[in-house]
Amino acid sequence: MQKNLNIIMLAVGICFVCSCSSQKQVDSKSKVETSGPTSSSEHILGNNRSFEVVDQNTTGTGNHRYLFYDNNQSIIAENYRWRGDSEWHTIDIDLDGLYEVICNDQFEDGAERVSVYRDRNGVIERGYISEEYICSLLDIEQISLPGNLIEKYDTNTNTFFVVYDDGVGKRVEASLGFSNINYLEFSEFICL
Amino acid sequence: MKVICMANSDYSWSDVLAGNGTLSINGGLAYSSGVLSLQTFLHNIGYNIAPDGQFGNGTDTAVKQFQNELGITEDGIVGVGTATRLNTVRSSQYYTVYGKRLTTSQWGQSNILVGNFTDTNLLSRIIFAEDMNSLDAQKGIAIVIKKRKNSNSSLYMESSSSYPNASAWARVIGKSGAYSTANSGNTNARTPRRGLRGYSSDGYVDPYWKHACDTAISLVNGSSFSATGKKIVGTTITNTSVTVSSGTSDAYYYQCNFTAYTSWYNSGLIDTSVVPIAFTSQGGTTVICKRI
Repeated sequence: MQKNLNIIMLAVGICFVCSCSSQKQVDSKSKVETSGPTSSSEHILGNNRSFEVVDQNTTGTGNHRYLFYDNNQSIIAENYRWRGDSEWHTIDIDLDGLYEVICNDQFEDGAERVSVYRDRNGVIERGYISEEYICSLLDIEQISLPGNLIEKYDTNTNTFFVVYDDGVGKRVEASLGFSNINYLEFSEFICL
Repeated sequence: MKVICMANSDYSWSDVLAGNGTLSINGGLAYSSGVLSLQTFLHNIGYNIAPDGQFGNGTDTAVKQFQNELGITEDGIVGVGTATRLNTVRSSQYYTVYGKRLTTSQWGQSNILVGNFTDTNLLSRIIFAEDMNSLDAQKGIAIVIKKRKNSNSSLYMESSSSYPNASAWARVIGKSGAYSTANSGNTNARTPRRGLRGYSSDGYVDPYWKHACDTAISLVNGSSFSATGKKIVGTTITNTSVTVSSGTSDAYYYQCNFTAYTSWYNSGLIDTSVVPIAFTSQGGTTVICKRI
């Protein structure tokens, strides 16, 4: 694995987002991208874990797969971006004092999805927003074209923003909290 | 005196099919040959259920999922409507071979790239989930997959050295960042609703699901097929028809939705060496880009 690529440093700024409805203060860290050396930040996903982000793509043609290596050199997250820079945030979404990693993924077929990474008892889990929940919320039968559904983490509102266009004149939007995420153990796979 | 029987144990599968009774969780847990048939048929088309002849919570869930898959009322009651549909689809290859329900831990790139799926089963799921509203778009999507496989390029597929147990098709589908529907979170590929738009005349098979399966079969066995769409100039879909074929040796394709194509085009990310082709349906537009 070549790791002398784009290395992205963590957590330089800290901002606070206040949800007036819940009165819960959520601590969020923003990222700064750089080509400098590996940086670290404690308590990311627990276990004093820090990480660095490496673009696996060496061809310069797009199809970026950004891999998140922790300080044990294990892959703990990944972020797909068909074009452009990585998009991720470290947010304590369950208010347990540890930051989860939220990635805004962009696939080559045009779909944009959110993935959430967390640590549960030493096991990294990856979560996706339940599509069944999105369908019920937006009152649609099914997502018949994956690219018509856009999911993004919105730093301004500290929510997941979803929008769906059914292609026949109906466009619906919603902001979601963090409770309808289906988590599974994260099975890394590495392209050699 | 006429006695009305409500228990599941009173009804055979034939009784239910004839409209002489229903099966449901309210019919009790006593063994029923009708329930055993119901469970066996659901199991054989991919529902996670162990046939034991007792209508419990697992059977109730499976029945509701089946009713959802076919777009009928999800009441958990197996009457003549549900039974007739199940009795029809239980012998259909579009249910018994393709598209069986998977859990989230059974789907996703990590499963695809270790070779957990047959090629036709994998391809049918992706072709269907990428566009469930246009037959031509499904063929266009399949053509893109074939061109990518034929390219044997690391731009379009994972390597055989990294994934020795995955077929070339699986390495195309499992290419990181390529197909969002290969993601474990995707519902339509993991649990395709195989009968949602199906009627009795077509065996309760959704025509787009059937077409996706047939197209996947054609891909794998090498049969040639073509798709006709509209040429895109800039970001305008013209009236000029363009036909693409799976049987030609022309170069690689991309596939995306029109919104993303437009955004990328306006950002200068779609280079001038491609011919974009639109496949528009009632649900939107899928774009494939042919390299020249």
